[in-house]
Amino acid sequence: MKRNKYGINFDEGLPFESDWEFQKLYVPFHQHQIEEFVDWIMTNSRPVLIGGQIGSGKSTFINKTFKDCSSTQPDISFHFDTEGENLSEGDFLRILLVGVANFAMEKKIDLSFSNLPQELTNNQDEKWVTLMDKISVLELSLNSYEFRKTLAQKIVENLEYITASINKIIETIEVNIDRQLLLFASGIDKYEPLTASYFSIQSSLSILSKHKTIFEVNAVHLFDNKWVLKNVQKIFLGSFSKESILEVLRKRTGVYTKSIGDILNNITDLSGGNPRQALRLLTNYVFIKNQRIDADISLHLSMKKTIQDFFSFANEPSKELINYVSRENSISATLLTLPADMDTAQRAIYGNWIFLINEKEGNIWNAIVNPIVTFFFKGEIDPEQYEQLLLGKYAENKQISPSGLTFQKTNDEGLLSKIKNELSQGAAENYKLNLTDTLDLLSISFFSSDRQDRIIVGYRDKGIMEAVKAYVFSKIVQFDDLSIINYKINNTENIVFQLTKILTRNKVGIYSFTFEEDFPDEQISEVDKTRDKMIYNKVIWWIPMTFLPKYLQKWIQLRQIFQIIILEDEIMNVLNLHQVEEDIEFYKKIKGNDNSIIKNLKIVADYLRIHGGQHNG
Amino acid sequence: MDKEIQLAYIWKRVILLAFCPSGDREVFDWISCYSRSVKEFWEVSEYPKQDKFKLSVYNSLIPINYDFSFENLRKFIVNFYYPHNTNKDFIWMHDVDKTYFIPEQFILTHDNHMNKHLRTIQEEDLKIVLEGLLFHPAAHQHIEEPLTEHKIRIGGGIHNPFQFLFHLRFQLCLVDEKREEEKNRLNALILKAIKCRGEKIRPRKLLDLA
Repeated sequence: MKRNKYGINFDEGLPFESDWEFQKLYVPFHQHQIEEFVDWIMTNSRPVLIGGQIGSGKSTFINKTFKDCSSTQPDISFHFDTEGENLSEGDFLRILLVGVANFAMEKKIDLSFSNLPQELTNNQDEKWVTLMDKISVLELSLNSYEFRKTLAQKIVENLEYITASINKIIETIEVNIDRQLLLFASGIDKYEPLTASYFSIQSSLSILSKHKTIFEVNAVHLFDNKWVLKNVQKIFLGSFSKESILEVLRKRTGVYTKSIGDILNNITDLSGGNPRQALRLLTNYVFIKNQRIDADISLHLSMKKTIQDFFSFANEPSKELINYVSRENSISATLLTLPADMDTAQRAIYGNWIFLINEKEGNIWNAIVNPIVTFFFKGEIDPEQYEQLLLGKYAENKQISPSGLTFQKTNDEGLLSKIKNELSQGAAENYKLNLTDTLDLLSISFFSSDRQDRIIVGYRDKGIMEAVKAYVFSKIVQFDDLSIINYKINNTENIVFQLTKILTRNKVGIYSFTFEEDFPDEQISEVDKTRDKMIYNKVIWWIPMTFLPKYLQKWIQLRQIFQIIILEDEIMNVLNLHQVEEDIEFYKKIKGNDNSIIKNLKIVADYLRIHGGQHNG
Repeated sequence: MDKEIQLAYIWKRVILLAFCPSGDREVFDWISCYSRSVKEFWEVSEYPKQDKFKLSVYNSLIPINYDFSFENLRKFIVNFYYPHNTNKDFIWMHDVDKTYFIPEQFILTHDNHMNKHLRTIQEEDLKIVLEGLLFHPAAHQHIEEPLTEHKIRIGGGIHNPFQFLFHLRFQLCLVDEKREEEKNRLNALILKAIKCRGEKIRPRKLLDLA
């Protein structure tokens, strides 16, 4: 990821990896947990769970710790979010088998005690090295995909035998290297409790739990007293302090901290101590402010946009729970362990509706309702929360009450109630930027070669979508070093397979994926695990509105890295046939006749000629 | 006097090499490169908006915003904006119309000894010229309130549109280290171009795009 030395460094909260990132952008936090983790690395032989909520900085925490104790690194890392394909039990075990066998071969450890290669392939000539070549092949092809799928099937049919074999390989390695292996299971945090894939991964976790393994999990997993890792040592990463979030924002804004000014305090308050949420609010704020909108209104709109990106289509937890946490500022761990709890506490934690801060006493945890979702529960929570957040600032800017800033004290109940009403509808209604801004957002954000923007565009009318797509692409390709691949996802092949295939086979600036048909729920759930495949790419997905709300409910992780824009039917009104025709003439002069800008503009012009646009002619 | 004439020739040469795209295609290319380059140079999050030969640099992070509209090499306008939260934007316009008399062009054209004067160019000579052209124009304006960045100098007497844009790119950068690096880069780039008796500097190179 390209970084700016002095200026703005916005991203979606990607984990830090480089020395420069740790030196310039990292804010020390969770010091006590780092010490605990280092102590575990040095002295412990049992597994450990590193748990935090989405966007809380788990991966950066782990990277930082290993950077600090550079003499020790994980021997084998299993990436359960990026290496899996069909998220079946066999697929997860395949990841384990590949990891340990490859490590053994690197160390030239004799694995001839096991006949797994022959047994799994029914081929007497199969060797470990050839089997690993086939399984680990980087180029994704239908053949290799089918091979891995068949292998996974065979693995799951022989679960006990495979489990014993993997354990035996690990033991053999440990005997040979004369020490315990340090294993790292990343991406477990992407598996929502009580989902099918969550159950499928248990057998793999069970094998790893017998060894010295670091498990990267969501906070909610720490409370699961039914799964295989219930008795494992836990390190919890809670919300950041206000000072730390403010420092994160200062570092991300570099020399422009002063230009943004006091708004950083408001964004800090709205972040609830979650660094990724703080960054999303800040990114949205700066973009909206650049549309020449006043600071207070920009903050308001940034919050609405962030709500749309993260929560609009999510399943809300119960109002009673939100009410309770809001009143008590705490939550009991027992609430998180109730069976069939998906509609309440577990979902609220997993989906970041509630932020856990730290353990208070016994089973009680300090917690807050995520400040930006308080508006979903208008009338259900204490109105004083509003004054602590945006409304106070809003009222101040509007010179309603510079000091009082409470609902009880304000003289203008009407205005505050209007704002409150508007904010409370933020989730229900699709937030609309000005239409021209929507097109600008689509095109301008993609111009940048160093930003890895990802956008989901919901559309109702395929014709409009195609025309807007052509218009946006015509803008984008003005920057001649940005190449685009435009791929239509079909429902004859698995979606994850298609996405992975295109991302790995084609190295282009922008990946555009158009969905037109519906897909089975199981496949849509798998897509949520592709977050880390998407995160380093510039990606735009076009999805019909008939399916999008349903998909987004399952895409809790993906919502963290995608901005969501809904194409309204009226969007074509901002495109003017006369102007488009002028543009075509202009680009003919500048770029010549055979140019992708002109081709795209002609698609827009044809659409406008048939369907009409504002002020046409 | 000879020295000053030489500097005047260097001045003219730099403008010809770097700030005189000709024809629609070159002008469009120059403005497109500029648009990309300011984002990189200022290290902000978004590109300016470009519509053919018009450019709108509206970014809440930089000290002052502006838009640029270009008619031809003799006529262009830059509107400056200072966004204010409660009132309308404060706007002032830099309006150039070169149909009016500009003396130095006239004198140099008639003296016609450019090659002789450029043959003996020293690095220090170019530094003096670039200071006057871009980094510290002799006639300039500061924004005193509410900004406190005295290093920002908006040159009042610049009548080449591309030179004017380029100087804004430099002046509105708040990072001292980057300003210094940019001075050194340009010195080296332009000195090489002059010594190579050369062709125009391509905008990608001038604007430091990879």
